[in-house]
Amino acid sequence: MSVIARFLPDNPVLTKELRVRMRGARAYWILFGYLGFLSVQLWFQYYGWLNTVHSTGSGASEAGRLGNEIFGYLLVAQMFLVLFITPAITSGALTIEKEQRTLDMLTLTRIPRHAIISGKLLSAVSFTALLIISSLPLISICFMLGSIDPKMVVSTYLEMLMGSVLIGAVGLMWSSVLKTTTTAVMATYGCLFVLFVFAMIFYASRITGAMGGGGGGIFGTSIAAIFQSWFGPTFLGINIVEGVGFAVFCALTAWLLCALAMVRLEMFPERKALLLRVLAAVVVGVQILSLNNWWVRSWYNRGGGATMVAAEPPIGVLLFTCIVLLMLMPIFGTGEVQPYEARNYLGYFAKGWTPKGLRRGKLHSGLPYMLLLTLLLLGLYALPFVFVGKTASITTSSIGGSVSDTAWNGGPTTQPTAPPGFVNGPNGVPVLAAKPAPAPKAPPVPKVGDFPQVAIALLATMLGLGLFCQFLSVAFRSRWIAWLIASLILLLIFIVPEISTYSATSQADLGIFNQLLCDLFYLNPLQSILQMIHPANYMEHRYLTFTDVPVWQITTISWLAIGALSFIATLPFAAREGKRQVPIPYEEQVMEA
Amino acid sequence: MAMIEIKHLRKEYKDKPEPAVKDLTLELEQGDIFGFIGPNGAGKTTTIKMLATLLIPTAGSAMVNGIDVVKHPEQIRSIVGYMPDFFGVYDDIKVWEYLDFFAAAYRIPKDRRPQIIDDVLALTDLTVKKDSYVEALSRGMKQRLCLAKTLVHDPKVMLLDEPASGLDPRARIEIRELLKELQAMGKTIIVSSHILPEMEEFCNKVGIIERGEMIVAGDVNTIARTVRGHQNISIAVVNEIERAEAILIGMTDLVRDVKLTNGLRQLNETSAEDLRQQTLQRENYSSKGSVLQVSYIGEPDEEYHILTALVEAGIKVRAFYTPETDLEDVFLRVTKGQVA
Repeated sequence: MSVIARFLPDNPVLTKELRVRMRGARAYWILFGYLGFLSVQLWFQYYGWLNTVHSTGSGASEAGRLGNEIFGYLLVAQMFLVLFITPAITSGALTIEKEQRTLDMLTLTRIPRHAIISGKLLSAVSFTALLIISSLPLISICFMLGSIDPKMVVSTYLEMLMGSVLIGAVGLMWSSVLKTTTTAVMATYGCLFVLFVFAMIFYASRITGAMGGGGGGIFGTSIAAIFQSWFGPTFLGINIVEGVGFAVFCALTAWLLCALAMVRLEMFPERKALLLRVLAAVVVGVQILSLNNWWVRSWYNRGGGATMVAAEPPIGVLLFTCIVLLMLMPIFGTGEVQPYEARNYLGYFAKGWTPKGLRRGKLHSGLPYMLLLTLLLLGLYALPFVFVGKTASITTSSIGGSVSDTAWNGGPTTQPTAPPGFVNGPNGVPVLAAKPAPAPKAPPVPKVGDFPQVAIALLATMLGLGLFCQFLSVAFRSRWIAWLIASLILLLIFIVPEISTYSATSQADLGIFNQLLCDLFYLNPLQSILQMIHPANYMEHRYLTFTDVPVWQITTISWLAIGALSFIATLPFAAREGKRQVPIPYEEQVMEA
Repeated sequence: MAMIEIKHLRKEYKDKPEPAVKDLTLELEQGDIFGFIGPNGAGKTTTIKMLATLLIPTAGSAMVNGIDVVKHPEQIRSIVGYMPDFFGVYDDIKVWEYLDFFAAAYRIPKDRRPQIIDDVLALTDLTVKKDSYVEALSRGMKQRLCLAKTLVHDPKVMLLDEPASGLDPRARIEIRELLKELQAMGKTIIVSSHILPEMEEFCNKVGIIERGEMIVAGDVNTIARTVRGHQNISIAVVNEIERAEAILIGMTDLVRDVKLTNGLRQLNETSAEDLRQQTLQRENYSSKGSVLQVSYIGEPDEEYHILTALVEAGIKVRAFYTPETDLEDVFLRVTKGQVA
């Protein structure tokens, strides 16, 4: 301990937690139970195999299969155990201190907040690490049976450890936000359950994708693609050991969650908003970039041996960017306005757009931050084209116009088509051809729009939605109600037109009311992109009012109108709020001085 | 420069209509031991928490050693030691580890910690418990351990919220002795309590707070005088008690009232020492006469006029003294029994 401690930074929380964790018999009983469970499982598998060998007399070729099987089962069992044990430790880490009334004394010392959080997380993860490392002798049996690559063991152990870091950070975050251990444990395992369901969807979509050739729909492919970008052998276009992509994702997300937990321990959490915002942008950015990169690569490589193929042109990846931004807007765009701020609402609103305003997590700077994030994510769309060596046509969805609508609906069976001037090199990555290819034919369907149009529609949506969120925040005077309403409305925009469309057989059937509900499609920026992907048959199943106008134009105009109306409607509510006789808080006066 | 300077401090809680603290002003010099007295819910804990940077004041300002508590909470934390009214201890941890944990948290270098831990353990008389588990300590010991924890970073100012609540008499006396030692070390201490007798023994200043307002604050005796408008003098005489009483009543410009008592001092019957003294007094006075309780309204430092008059009249005066201020009496007079 003291030898290790010499190399670690002096973190009293970590020291204390490590000391206490291994004190008494409890830790050793857990270790005993953990290894006992795995041993029994191994024992059953091994003797089952032995019996089969005795009865059928199969040779050594089966041993490799058994090794693989044992490895797989042990891994799954360990993964479950680890994913349940780590949050059990971290979800109570801070709430117990709150309940015991020790947290105040701790926060009043000069210990940095990040030392508290990192100490708690590291101590929990190091216990998990102890558990899984102690299971290595069991895994070594698989080496004896053969067919297991040490590299595979290292990468799966790395994935397991990083998974426990991520889940541990989820527990720690809830522990910091909530007041009691019971609620924190419930929230953490709730998150675990959601992640589990998400993983199931991934496997389902992967299976259907494998069977139906690009099936599982565009969302199935998207979700699969995210996981692919975690688990796959490449991350951001770099060939790496399997599992490192997942490890990077876990580390980044855990970092964000820990920052959230840390900020909650601060006296003025909103002053630390910049840290959270930058981290959120980094996490979202890396994931989106990774997804974009995978998607664009697969598109150029389609049919060329890739296990999963993007069935849609690169512009389709922006669908995912859109979803992420729409989900984040109610989180960052809502807040609470104080009476002294509402007194001069226009001035307050303007201040949010300054660097000083962006540094603080107040209502006024949520919208500017989200617009910056939108610009960043749109910018990240361009980068994968650099990776695959096709910088010329970032904004071209169908490559050089050489692929027709039907061609990319064909899915993986379609032959790879290199862009003009390029031929397919190794790994299907287009390389410059020695001789320019003959000019391709123009696509038969007129183009609706491309990257610039998507960018305009998306920015307008974010602006309108952001102003709407501000209106909700000021009108309801509660951040949580505003957040809930905004999210519900977004959900309705996604679901209601689908239902109305499915219930009708033709446009003539629709009443005025149903027609209006169908037209909610216009508020969904995803529809603009979908129309660009399927310009030929987009209108077939959607009974929209304006069939001749591109969807992105109406989306842009509608959201700008909603934004303007929301802003005007905010003013009287702000004036009402400003009338409340509440003095300017002391800390604000101090900040100004 | 004042060590603690509170000006018009105010604290409102979101869900309560009445502010917990309103317009509180206080100034303490270095070495002052300030007794913060008030009924439960009067705002003592809120004020102390604001000074400890746990709560943000709504208005007003609070400075410790010239540093604003809201502007530079980090600097405040290194010069202030705070002991909460309710506190917990960690499980499965030894006394020295507990102190080492806090010493490390206060960024005290590793090589200096063992010495500091030994020092604070000696000061709080817990040296023998160094290797015991914290949860095995008695309540009084835990309280002392918490005090030891507040001392590891050698704070200039100590904020002690009800340090003696829930303790048995012996543990209370031990805490009291400890506070006297801290006083000797020159620390500025704010100590809140609603057990009054123990406060007047070591506090040089007291403040009485009710419903978030400081009703009186200052030197203990001065407060008593202001509150009552008079000062008590006890005169024990051997003979002619009625004549002595008549003489005293006659001095209307100096004496407002004279009461005959059995001469027992109001002692809190908590410690063995107090009980012994009480018995001693009972033996002394009940057999040999009585004590006159005089309400003196003359100028301070001119009480000798009364003594002179009695002696000149030939009355045998056994004792002439001003009894220790009865803080409980003061407290009952100024407070109305309401809480915020």
